[in-house]
Amino acid sequence: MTSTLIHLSRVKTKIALAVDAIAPPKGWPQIGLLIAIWWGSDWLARITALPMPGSALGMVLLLLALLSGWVNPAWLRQGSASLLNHMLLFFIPAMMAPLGHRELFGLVGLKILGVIVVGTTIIMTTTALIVEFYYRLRLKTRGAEA
Amino acid sequence: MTLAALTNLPPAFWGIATLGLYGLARLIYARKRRWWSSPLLVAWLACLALAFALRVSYADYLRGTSWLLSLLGPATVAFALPIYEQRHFIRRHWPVLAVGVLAGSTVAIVSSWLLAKSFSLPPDLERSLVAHSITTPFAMTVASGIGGIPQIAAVSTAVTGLLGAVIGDGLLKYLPLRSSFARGALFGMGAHGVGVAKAYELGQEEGSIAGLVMILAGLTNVAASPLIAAALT
Repeated sequence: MTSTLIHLSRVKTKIALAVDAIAPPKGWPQIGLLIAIWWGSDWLARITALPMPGSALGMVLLLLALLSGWVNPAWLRQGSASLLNHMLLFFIPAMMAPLGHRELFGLVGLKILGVIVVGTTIIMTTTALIVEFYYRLRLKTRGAEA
Repeated sequence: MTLAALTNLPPAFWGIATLGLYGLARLIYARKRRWWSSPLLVAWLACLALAFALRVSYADYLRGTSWLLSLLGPATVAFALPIYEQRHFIRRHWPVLAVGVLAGSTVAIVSSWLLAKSFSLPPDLERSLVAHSITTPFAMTVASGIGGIPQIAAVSTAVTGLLGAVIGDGLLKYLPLRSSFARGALFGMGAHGVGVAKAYELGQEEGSIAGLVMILAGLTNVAASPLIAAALT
C-alpha cells in the first residue's frame, strides 16, 4: 500500500518536472516591454551611429535605469527570467549554419574543433590560475595587515 | 513527386518543428541531466537531422525561424536584471571579477586567433572563432562586427560550451584551485551558459561568479570589438 503511494508520488513528481520543462513562458507583458526597450535602443544605436549593437546598448541603458531607481526590477524580473531561460531556442536557427556551410563536415570542421578544444583548455587553465594567484596574493597582503 | 511536395513545406512548418523539437529536448533533459542530454545538443542535432532529411535549404529554414533569432535582441537586454540583482556582490568583489574578465578575455581572443592562424583556416572563419568563448548573442555580435560569419560563431560557441563543460571538469582535478572564484571564473570564461550551469553544481558562489564572468566578458568583448577589428587588419 505505502509502496504504491510512494510510487504514485514519484510519478507525480516526474509529471510535474515534465510539465515544468515544456510550460509556455510566463510574463508576456514583461517580455513585450523588453522587446520595446530593444527596439528603442536599436533605433538609438542606429541614429547615433554608436559602435555598439542596439541590444548591448539596451542592456547598459536598462541597467543604468535600474540602478538609478527609474525602473522597478519587479516590472521585468519574470519576463527577463523567461527570455534567459529559453535563450538557447533563439539561437538554434543560427546554429543550423551547417545547412548552408557543408564545408563544416570536412577538414575545416575538424580544424575548428581543434581550435575549440585546445583554445578552451588554454583559456580555462590561464583564467583559473590567474584568479587563484590574485586571490592568494590578496589573502597574503591582508594577512600582513592584520 | 513526394520529394517535391516535401521541399515545398510552408516556412511556418520549420518554426513549429523547431519549437516542438526544443520542447522534446527539454523533456528529455528534465528526466536525464547530463552534458550530452543538454537541450542545446539534442535540439540542435534533432533540428539538423530533420532539415537534412527533408533537404531544406538554409534560406528556406530561416524564412520560418528568423523570428526566433530576433528574440536574441530582447534576451540580451534581459541580462541587465541578473547583473542588477548581483550589484552588491559586484561592488564587494569587483577587483577579482575585473582580473578574471580582463585576463580571461585577452587570453581567449589572442589564443583563438593564434590557433586559428596556425591551423590555416580561411580569414572569415578565423574571425568567426575569435569570440567562441563568450555567450552566444555576444559572440555573434562580435563576429559580425569584425568580419566573421555570425552563424559559424553560433555553432562554434555552442560546441565550446558543450565540450568546455567536460574539459573544465577534467581540469578541476589537476589544477590547484582553492578559491571558489577561480573555479567559477574557469567555467564562466571557458564554457559560458553550459559552464554556468556546471558551476552551480559545484556551489552557489561558483555559480554566481561564473554567471557574472560570462555576462561581463560578453560585454567587454562587444565593447572591445572595434579594437579587435583594428588589431586584426
